[in-house]
Amino acid sequence: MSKRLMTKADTKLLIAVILLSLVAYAAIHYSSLSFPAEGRVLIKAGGEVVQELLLSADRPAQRISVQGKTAPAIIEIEQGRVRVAEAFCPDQICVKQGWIDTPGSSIVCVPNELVIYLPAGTDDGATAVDAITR
Amino acid sequence: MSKTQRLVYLSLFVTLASALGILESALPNPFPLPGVKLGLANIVTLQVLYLYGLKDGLAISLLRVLFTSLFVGTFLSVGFYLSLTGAVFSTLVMAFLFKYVPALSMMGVSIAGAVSHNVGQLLAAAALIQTGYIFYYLPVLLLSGIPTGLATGYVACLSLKHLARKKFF
Repeated sequence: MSKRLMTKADTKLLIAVILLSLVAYAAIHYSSLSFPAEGRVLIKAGGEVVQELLLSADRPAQRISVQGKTAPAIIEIEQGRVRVAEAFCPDQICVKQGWIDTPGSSIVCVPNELVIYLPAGTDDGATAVDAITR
Repeated sequence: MSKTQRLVYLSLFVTLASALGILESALPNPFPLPGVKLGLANIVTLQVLYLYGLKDGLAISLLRVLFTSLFVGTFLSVGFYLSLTGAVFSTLVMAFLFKYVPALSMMGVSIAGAVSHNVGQLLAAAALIQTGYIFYYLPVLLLSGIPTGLATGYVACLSLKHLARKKFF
């Protein structure tokens, strides 16, 4: 073991790891792996897709009205997330659920047969973290 | 060193590594990120690799992961497989560096070990949940290996000097 705690090679290794993480960050950031920011929102009414919108991170806030089976609903979309702002159903479960932003998640209004769904990436599998190690 | 002495020392090292692993799981994680942890047990792996070489280092890592998971209750869980892959991966990398890159001190080897532990874990996680999106997490895990590697390397270095003075080895 050397007398000095950190050798020159150690410092080089340290810098290499920092550079590698920056390169990895840049590669992921600019690659097609870009995930929820470019997601889509599918709005289904009565089992059919009535609207398909992009859920990009920089989109302006927007409120749209969608005709469900029994009544219209106001859906609000803003940066990377979506919610049901107003609905005319008895329980208001879809409104109370609030914003969703994770691919694979959905808001369902049963009486109105309305489904708002964020498809996960290119496949339909879940992409969210589902396990934590310790 | 006689065969019995060696057996006793290695047993003590396994015990120490397992105890550190259990201790760490009992402490609140100082890093609020999944997968990022101090890696106290890495101190022991480093020392065993330095003193005894790859074969014993690998044996100690494997036993440590097994014992810790049995005591903590994570045996055969997802986390167990991640730890196992990370431990094997980092032990192999550290043994390689000790043997073939003498320019690196214990601190450097420790950083490489911490980083490769995280990378190994991430590879295992990607294989388990079958998605490439998890590599989003790679820069975080690479960077987090630096402070944890420095910390464990420093402790390993200091305690090894102390052991050498006592002429245990």
